[in-house]
Amino acid sequence: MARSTGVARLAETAEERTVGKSLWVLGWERFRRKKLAMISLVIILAFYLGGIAGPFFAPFSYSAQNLDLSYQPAWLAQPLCTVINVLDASRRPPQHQPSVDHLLGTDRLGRDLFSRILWGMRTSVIVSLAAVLTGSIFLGVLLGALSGFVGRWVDTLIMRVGEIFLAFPGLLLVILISATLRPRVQQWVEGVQQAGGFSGLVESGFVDYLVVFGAMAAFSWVGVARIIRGQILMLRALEYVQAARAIGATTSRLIFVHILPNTLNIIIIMLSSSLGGAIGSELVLSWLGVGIQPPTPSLGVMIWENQSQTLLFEQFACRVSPVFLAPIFIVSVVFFCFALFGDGLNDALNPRAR
Amino acid sequence: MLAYIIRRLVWTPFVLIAVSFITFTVGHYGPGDPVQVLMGQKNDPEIVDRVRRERGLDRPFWEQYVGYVIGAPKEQPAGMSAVEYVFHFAFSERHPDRQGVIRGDFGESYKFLGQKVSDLIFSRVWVSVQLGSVALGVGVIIGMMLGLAAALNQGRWFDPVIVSGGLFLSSLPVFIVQPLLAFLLSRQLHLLPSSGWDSGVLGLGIFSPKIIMPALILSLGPIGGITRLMRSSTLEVVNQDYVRTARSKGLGERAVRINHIGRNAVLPIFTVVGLSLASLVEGGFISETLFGIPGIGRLAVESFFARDYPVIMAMTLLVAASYIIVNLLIDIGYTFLDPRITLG
Repeated sequence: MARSTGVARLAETAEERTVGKSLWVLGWERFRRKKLAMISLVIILAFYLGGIAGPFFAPFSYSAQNLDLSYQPAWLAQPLCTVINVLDASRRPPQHQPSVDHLLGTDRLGRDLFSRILWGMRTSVIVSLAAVLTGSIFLGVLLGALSGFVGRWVDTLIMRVGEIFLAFPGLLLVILISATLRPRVQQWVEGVQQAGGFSGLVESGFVDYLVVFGAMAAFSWVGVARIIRGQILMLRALEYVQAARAIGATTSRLIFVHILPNTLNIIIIMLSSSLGGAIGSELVLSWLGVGIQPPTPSLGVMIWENQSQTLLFEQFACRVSPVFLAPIFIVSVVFFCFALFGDGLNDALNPRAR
Repeated sequence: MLAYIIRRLVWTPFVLIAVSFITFTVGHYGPGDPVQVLMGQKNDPEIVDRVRRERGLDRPFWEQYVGYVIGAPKEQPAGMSAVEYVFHFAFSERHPDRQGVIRGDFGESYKFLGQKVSDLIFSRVWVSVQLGSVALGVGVIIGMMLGLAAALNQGRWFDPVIVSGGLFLSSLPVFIVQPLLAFLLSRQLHLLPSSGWDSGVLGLGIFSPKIIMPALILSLGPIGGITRLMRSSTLEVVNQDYVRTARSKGLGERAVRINHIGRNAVLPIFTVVGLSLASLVEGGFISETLFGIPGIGRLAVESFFARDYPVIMAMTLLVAASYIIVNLLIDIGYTFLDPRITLG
């Protein structure tokens, strides 16, 4: 009896061993072993979750001002500030004492910094997701797949147009487009709003989002399309695809069952790097003053508003809230995490990078 | 090989025409009426009309675009057939102020009245070229050394620290690093000037300490990318047979590392240099503005805010042209450096 169960168990384990692991399980296992990349993934997810859910839990509105309470120091930084206080007893005390109400203190207009950062994160999340999903994923994969499969003049057309787009100094043109299109988009949205008989769309910063992500999406597809096209051309020539075609698989089956799933790892890698890039572009555009416009909160605008050297000094001396340091801390951490995450993802999913 | 180069060279003008058309369209339909910008407060409709006519801004869009590219004729065409029209544009006497982009005339700036766009740009290009080449040079050298060092120390603490350090530095936006560095190095430690540009002999600013901080910040992007690339390409080379042969025939470790590993690992760097050009130009917009450097990046941002479309259009065209040409040169140079590669 005991022996038979032992044999059964042996057979079981042998069976388990022969059950193949899918590429994705293998990739995930490889990825999970990279501690830095895992930590980055968690931080990125936290950033996105914070951007999506944060504004609902934000203690204050992003525009609620309290001019009596400008630059209240951060409550969270109190321990650090106590140390600085002891080290530098001669320093000028802050104008306001920190309070639990404002965890990160307030800015010049007395707006709660913590809430504003949550709202700014929401902007980054919306714009980056929208730009990447429409530009890189939808346009990029679609055009890349078209040009890889159809070939001939479609391929030539898409790749030549892509070359033209690549030759543009991207940032300059995105700036130009978002500046020139904004008034038209604004008019159009107002028109839609009037025709539909609802309100609040223009006030919610929808126009800014639309312009910024539209301008970014128009330029982000080229890289993805080129890579997808290359992948498809490579996969199409492989034996298993030819075999599938030989036994009579239809073109759509070849595309959706045999080829596209095998480009998915590259798509995921591109997705991660495009997301990071899109957050960066939004930041630069808003910082230059052509992206998100001031009543709508954005990390780029917050960085631009508070970057004076004097203010920076006051922040290091704990006299004012970290109006500049807090947003740049978040932004730097997120960018770094995207870089680490992309690196780990590339190692785990890209068979040629190993 | 030759066929490839010729094909690229033939294709380049078409790309440039498309680029010029897109920028012209965006500028043409953008907000703001150039004549209103030119006139300022004076709003006499008669004068506005005359200025519009003199500058050819009353002509149809197509005519304005063709005039922008190949130069507008001195006499405005009127009552002509299509064939005559084309001949008129191509061969009649040219308008002295609108010679066309192909003759290096990008029109007149809206913001700096009476100044040629070409003069505005060419007086600033030299500054940006200096800054960009110093930044790229620093980035390539430091990046290659760090990447080589990281790869040769694979498995030790040195490797991940360098790689993630490079990743961190290159993932920071310029406008975050600048205030922090300026605060630390200029305001607190008084080590470096925080902004400005010195042009000494021949307009050379590279010997002034003012170039250190902007060049350093601009080079962070290339450093990160090149470190990673150099590391991975070194790792590919390090186990090759010829490296083992070099070691086994008794060459010193130093000679092996520099002549056999380093020289072969350097090749992929060249492609990145071409791609870095774009990031240098874009980084230049921000860092030149922040540091108050009179280069084309700052001119671009300034003219953008002033809605100075002729300058923006000229800048876009020039950057696109230089990007295409540099990448073509790199492609060609690559085949000479690495005979295994043939361009198809």
